[in-house]
Amino acid sequence: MATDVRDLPRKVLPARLFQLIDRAGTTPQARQDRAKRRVQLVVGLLGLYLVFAYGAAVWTVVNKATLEKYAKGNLLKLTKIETRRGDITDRNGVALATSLSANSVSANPRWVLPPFIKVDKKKVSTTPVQMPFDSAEGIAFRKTITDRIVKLLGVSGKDEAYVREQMNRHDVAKDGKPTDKGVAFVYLAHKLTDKQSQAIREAIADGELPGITLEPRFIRYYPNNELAGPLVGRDNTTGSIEASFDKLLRGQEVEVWSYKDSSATPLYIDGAPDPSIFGGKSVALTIDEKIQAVAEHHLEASVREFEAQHGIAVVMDVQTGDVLALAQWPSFNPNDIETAPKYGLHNIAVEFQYEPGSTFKVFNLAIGLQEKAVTLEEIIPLGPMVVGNKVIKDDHPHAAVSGLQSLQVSSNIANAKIAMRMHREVYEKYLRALGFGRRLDLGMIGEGAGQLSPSEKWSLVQYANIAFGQGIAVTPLQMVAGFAAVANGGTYRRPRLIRAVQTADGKEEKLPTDVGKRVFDKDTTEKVLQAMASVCQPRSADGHSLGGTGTAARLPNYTIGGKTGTAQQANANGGYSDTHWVGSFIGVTPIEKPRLVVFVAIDTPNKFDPKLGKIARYGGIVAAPVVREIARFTLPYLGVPPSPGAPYLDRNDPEKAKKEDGERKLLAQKTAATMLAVANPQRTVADATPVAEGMARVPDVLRLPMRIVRERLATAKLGLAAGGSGVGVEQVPAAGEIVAAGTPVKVTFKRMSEVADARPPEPPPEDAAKPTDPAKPTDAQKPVNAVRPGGPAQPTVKH
Amino acid sequence: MAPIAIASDDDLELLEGFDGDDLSLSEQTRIQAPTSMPKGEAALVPMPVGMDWALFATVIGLMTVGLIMAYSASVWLGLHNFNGDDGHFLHKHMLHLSIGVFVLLIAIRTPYQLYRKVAYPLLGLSMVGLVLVLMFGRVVNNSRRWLGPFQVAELAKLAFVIYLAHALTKQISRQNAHKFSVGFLPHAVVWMVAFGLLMKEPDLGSGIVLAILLFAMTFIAGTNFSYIIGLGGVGVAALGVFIAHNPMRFARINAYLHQLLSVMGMEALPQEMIRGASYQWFNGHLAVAAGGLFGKGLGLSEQKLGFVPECHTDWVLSIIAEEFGLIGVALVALAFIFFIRRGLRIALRARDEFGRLLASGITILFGTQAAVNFGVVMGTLPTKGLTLPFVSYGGSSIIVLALAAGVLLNVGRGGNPDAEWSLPKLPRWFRREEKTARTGNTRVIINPSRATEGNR
Repeated sequence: MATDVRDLPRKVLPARLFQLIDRAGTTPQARQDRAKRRVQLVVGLLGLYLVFAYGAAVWTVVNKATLEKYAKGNLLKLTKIETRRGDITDRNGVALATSLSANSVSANPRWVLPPFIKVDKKKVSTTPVQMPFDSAEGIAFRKTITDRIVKLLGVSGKDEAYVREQMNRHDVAKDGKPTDKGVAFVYLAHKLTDKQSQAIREAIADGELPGITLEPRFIRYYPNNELAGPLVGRDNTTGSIEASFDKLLRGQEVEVWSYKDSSATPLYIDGAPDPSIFGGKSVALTIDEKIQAVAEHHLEASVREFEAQHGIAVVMDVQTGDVLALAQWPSFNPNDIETAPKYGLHNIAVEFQYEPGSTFKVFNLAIGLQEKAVTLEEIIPLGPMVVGNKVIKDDHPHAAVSGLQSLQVSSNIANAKIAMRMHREVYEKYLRALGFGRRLDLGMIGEGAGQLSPSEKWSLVQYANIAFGQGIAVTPLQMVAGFAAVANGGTYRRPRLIRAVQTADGKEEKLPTDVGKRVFDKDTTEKVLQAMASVCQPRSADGHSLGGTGTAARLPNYTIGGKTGTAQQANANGGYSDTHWVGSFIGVTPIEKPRLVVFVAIDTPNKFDPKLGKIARYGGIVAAPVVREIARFTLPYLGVPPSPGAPYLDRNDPEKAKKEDGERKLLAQKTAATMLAVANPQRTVADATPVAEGMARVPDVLRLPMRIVRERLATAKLGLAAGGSGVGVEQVPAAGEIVAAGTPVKVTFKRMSEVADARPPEPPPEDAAKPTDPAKPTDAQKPVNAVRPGGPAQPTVKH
Repeated sequence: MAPIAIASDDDLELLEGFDGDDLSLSEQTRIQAPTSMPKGEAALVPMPVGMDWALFATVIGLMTVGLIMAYSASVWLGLHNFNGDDGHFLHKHMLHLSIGVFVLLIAIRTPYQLYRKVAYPLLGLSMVGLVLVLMFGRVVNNSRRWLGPFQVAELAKLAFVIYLAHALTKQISRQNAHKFSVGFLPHAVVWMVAFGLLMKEPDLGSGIVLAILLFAMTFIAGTNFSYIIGLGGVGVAALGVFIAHNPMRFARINAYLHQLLSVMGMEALPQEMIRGASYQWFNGHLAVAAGGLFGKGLGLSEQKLGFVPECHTDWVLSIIAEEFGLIGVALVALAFIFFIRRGLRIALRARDEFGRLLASGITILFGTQAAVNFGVVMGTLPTKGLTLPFVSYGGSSIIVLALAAGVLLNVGRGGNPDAEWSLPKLPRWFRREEKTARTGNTRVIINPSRATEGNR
């Protein structure tokens, strides 16, 4: 029997302590009292312990700073979501660049574990138990999951083996030896098709694929390949929309702090963010896909024919300043820039700076007329002209020319004389107002600024040279914008390349056209247009017309004016190169109510012309026909009514003349709007998804000339079964359908004049040419292009 | 301290001749001498506290906190492990709570004296249960603790309390409670059997709770303190040897010591421990630290996303700390301290010795569970699988503890010393005799809760 501490002598310390709470005594009262104290002691100790544990909690919180690094790294995860890059479309919504879903599927093989461990029937553990990576169950479970993935992806052979290998990969320790753990992150497959993505997404949502993640990824795709290739470009090609408007196009960098659970799956508080709403903005260009195609086609033909280095074509709507086509040749396919020539990776239409040569005389004349330094009728005597230490010469010497003829025959001496009549400061003011010597600020990377030194630094020779376009560097777009200012009645507008910007959620913001700034009076520009028209007039018997340099630009049904230019380019030594020439032609059409400026420059044509006895490098030969072809397609395409005063070509052939008469009559009867609507607006970027191997998507070939139809179908790996001639009016199968490659597409062609499109018209662009009624002619004014040998009297219009 | 009505032996003799009808209701209660009380103790007639509504409200309050936290802490588990069913655990918990509240209400109305009659059968039943668990139980997390949906160890705790209260009352009435042979040894043997069975599962936490109950209750009953120190010393030594020979447990104790140092800010917890033995504690610890003073707000815990294993059961306190901060933990701690305080009051004013021991045993059971759970989560005790009463998710725990709380409340009401074993009575609003009671039926006198209410 052990001794009760209470029976110990009081001097023993434990007994004394104990007696404080547990006094001796045998009466019921004492017992009860003792029991009471004992209960209080035990229960009180428990309470005290609770307080003590709470103290530990307080201490933990006080010292939390030491733990925060663990908590942050453990729990929060920064998920970067790849968002869709915006599309680039033409003005009608046809995709020039688009982003296609090409998701990747990744896995965390360590967490390829059953969602819960079944111990036996119906009974489960609440905590996921990590099975050893190399255990039989682990391998077996991974195999089932892998089989499922392989089945969902539909892969086989090498791809399947890759998936299986990745799923069973071991983690590697720091010393390079494989550990017994699985690797934490592997990719299983890339560039999934929509079908594969959908299958995987559904399986993950159903909880069938633990440890597997579908990552949104996109690839950039250019459904039209070379079409506007350098303009659309890639994000690493200069002067391209992709590079210059990258900030707009690029999707927002979405970084989501999400909770990361223990299996590293992100948990979003408000649900997974929808990547589509963070997508980049789509850019709608002012380019029209079909005009662009036609421009590229004819430009290529010319560059090939004249063995030139490259060519540039720009089409602009003079009323709005919209650039309808911005073509270059050689072009490149943004889908495949690796094989593109290095030179072709530039958008030279934007970057190219050159000495414009004779085309600049248009501005010279305009400034002269505006400043009343010259009139169209004034006769300017031409003799050898010495300026400083230089002699200014003409290629084709004349004794004297009128103001109008100074442009028609492109007399350097006459133009220099006109310029020298003005103060150089005044002259410079006009050039600056026309946008020369500074960047247009279209937002394009690598955009050329041209070069125009301040007038106080001009030497006399330089001043004289500027009058005929030497000693000044310009870009094609500057020239086009300047010509547009002359063509639209004197208002200079900055060219517009972006028509609208559309956010990912569909809100469209139209970019305004430049309100413009008046540079010339309407009176002046009408006179200049008259002079420009004369450039395209052949020599007349009465001597009124000396025969223009740009007769090759004449086209049926529409009047055209313009200016040729053949400019020697500066070389690196400060002189002029003998081999580097730019032959250009800038046309304005139709002349009585201008709608288009068409610019074509052919850089360094190199083909010997036996007729000329030298290399054909004149703008009138190499560029004017291209302008003609582009205008010939574009004007009816835009619904511009034919010019009542248009010249007949080849009036010596009565048959042809009669036919042309009929054509024009038909054209005039149909209003501009109903005759041709612009491209089918229903076509969207969804049409851009690539098709399977061996299949082809039928392109839209309606309203395109046969040569281009043939080309487009060939690009799409399809044949052509043509009927009739003219432009395509009917195609079977329809655009957008997917057929086997090589299938001939039946296209019915009709003469432009026979085309009657029943589709509701798109409202004509602001200030678009109103159809003129040939039934109500007026005789208020002489037609602009009055020189029309042998032609019947034509009704004239007031404009 | 609440007043204890004491009637001396002389008073009792005087009162015997009285006709009860001449006394007021309160006086009738005071003279009601419990017939079951041992003769020697009859002189001390304590005044039961009556129906302790504050304690009842605390229980319901803790259950409510448990209901909210059962969803908050288990939502990720449900999403992740049960095919996106976020309410998986909530729905089960609601079922458990419904059963628990029902059991609680029944137990409040069941005279606690009746448990003396089932003390041995209940103990035997739980022992058999513990054996059956070892034979047929299912293994979860390396432990075999579940017999069907039930954790027998939870029942064993209550059964052990009832058994101890009953057996010790017997010895007290025989004035043998301080003797080793009958006052301590038999109970120690019973505990050892139960402990052995629990260690086979293994469930060291429950075994230690039983040990604390054994020591505390024999101590309260008047066992010589030296026995407790002796057996406690032997037990601790045995445990030490056991731990030293079991590498896994040794690692845990080692981890615990590092945890202590880490909590005290004396060292950073080694990485291999964060990933190994201290993984659960460390993540719970992070949750407590992250919660700060005011917490992140309901539902905003991050550590519940699979980082704190068993965050809805044993470690729910860490999630409470993260979501409600120290304030929330303090409220829960205060609730338990209040519970203990009121349990103590009930025990001290219990009508009889059995009631006193039973009430203290149950209070100690609650107090131990809560204190150990707090201690484990806060890093002052090594990790044990003990639930936080009423707050943790877990059916067996909630139902058994609801029963225990009901018994405690009934002790407060004084039970019914004359109650015969019968089916539990229907709730008051179903009973017809209640109507007659108001009209002067003498049965009402033996309803002590009524009497004390009148006495206040």
